[in-house]
Amino acid sequence: MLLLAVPASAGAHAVLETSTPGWGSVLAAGPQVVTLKYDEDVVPRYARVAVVAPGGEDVAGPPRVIGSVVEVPLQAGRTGSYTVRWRMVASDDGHVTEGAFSFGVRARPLPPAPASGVSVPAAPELLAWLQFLGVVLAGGALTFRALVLAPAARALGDRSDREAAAAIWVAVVGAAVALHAGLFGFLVGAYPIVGGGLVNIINTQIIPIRVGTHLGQAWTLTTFAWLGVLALLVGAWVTPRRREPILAAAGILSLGIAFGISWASHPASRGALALIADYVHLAAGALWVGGVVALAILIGVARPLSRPDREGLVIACLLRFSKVAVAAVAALAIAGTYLALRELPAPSALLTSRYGVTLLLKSVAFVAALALGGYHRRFAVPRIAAGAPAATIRRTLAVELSVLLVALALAAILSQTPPPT
Amino acid sequence: MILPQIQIARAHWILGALFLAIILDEYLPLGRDGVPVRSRSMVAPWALIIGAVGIWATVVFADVVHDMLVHFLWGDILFAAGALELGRRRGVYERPWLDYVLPLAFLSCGVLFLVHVLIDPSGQGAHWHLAMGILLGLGGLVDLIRVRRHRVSLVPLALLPLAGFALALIAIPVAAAS
Repeated sequence: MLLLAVPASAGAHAVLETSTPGWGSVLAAGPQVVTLKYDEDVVPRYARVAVVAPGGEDVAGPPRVIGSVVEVPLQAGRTGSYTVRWRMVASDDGHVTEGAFSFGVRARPLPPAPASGVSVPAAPELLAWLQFLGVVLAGGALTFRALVLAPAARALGDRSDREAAAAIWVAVVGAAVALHAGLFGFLVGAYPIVGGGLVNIINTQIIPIRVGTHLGQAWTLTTFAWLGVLALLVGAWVTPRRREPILAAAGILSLGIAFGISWASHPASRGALALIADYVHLAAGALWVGGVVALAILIGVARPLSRPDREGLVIACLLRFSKVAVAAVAALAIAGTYLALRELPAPSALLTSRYGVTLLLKSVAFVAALALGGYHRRFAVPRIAAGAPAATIRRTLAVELSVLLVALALAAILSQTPPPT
Repeated sequence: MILPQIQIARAHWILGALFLAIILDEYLPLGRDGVPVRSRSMVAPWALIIGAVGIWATVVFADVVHDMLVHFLWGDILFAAGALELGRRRGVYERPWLDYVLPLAFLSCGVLFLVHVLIDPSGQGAHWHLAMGILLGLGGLVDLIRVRRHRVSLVPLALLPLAGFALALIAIPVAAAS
């Protein structure tokens, strides 16, 4: 079935082959003309090109079409980033293609500016949440196995990997959900950049957005990384003898994918430190939430064990996880505080902007989850150590998990909300 | 990045030959006494998984959105089929319905070829896509019927359309060159 890896023929639509100025180029002076070269002839009557200047005005003159070449006169002189937005109809099949790219005049070009007034409500937030969930389920839960469960089981002399199948399935679901959420997140993110109707989006020429934006670059990287995670999970499933190192590698790779998500976030435009802080925030959160997910699974799958073995394993994992969780929560809080100080212009913005209110709600959820974690560490673990059944922790663990999932949803909303200025 | 036509043609030729080798390995496995046996070769499942990754690469590098949407479905089908076949052949997952995995994967990939043509009926290579979709879908359907009826044959009938599909891929660069 390798044959199906054949790339699609590029000749089905009018595809932009080259342009002058090129995608992402920086010019010393404003160009007099923009030239677009397509791979097939376009219909002159329907050729539309807009060139949006840094001030937001369209500086393009009427396009002149000669076969597959479109020339657009410009009145561009101002320093800054220009967005070229085009729409063509192919001469041979009549299909519409659209696209956008940007260039700079004496300045680095920004990603193509979104067309105003077009977006898909709620979808970006939902898809971002699903991507976070993928990192949590694959990265957090598998890293929990490597850092907490495997050493605890070894210390107790338990060589079985009875929960491995559950861990693999949870990670597969997480990776598959995140892979597809990434694809649709990219398309939903590209939609307002390109503009046009929903039907036209399927004919959109997407390459400039993939190449020229953090959104596209991050999607490219995370897609291949998630495929690698899925291949590792399949490998772990079919080779039980080498399962532990393969699962650990899949967990580490999944946590690494969080960097791709950070690359397409607001902090990425604030410099390297903000980007690293965002990644640490996300990875630490994934470790915490993923660990709670893995604990909940463990309590379920450990049921067939004898009671002393079960209680011993759960307590050993809880004690180890407490140490990991404390470090993760500390990193989460420090990075989160730094990012909040970086993004909020003033404390009052916490109450006066959508970003601030969402951040406040997320902080409340964080404190609630932290309180539940503290309760587990201070009261629940000693109680189980004193002989109470391990299942007594299940209810509060479920509440903590629910609160953390709400915090994750608020983080997803935050990632799609522009910070106040 | 848009791949030049020559690279696309070369990829068709090589992958067509590879697919032919894979289906021969899968559908012509003879036992020592000449009795056909179910292939336990790992070639087909790994090829499915590697093919799925390749198709997802096409999703990433596709030039228009509808190509992305069709290719990701192909990629998903192949990945799932490859993983399930691998699990069975390694002995970690045994279920009777796994017999249907490969025929259903061929059938659904063939149907998606036809959907691809429906979306872009006048696009370049549409007639090739149509022929390949019919051959692949037919191969899957014939094999599905064989599995359903528990038929064991020395040379499964599905091999013919599937080989035709592979040959169509090999013929594409020849046709393009001429």
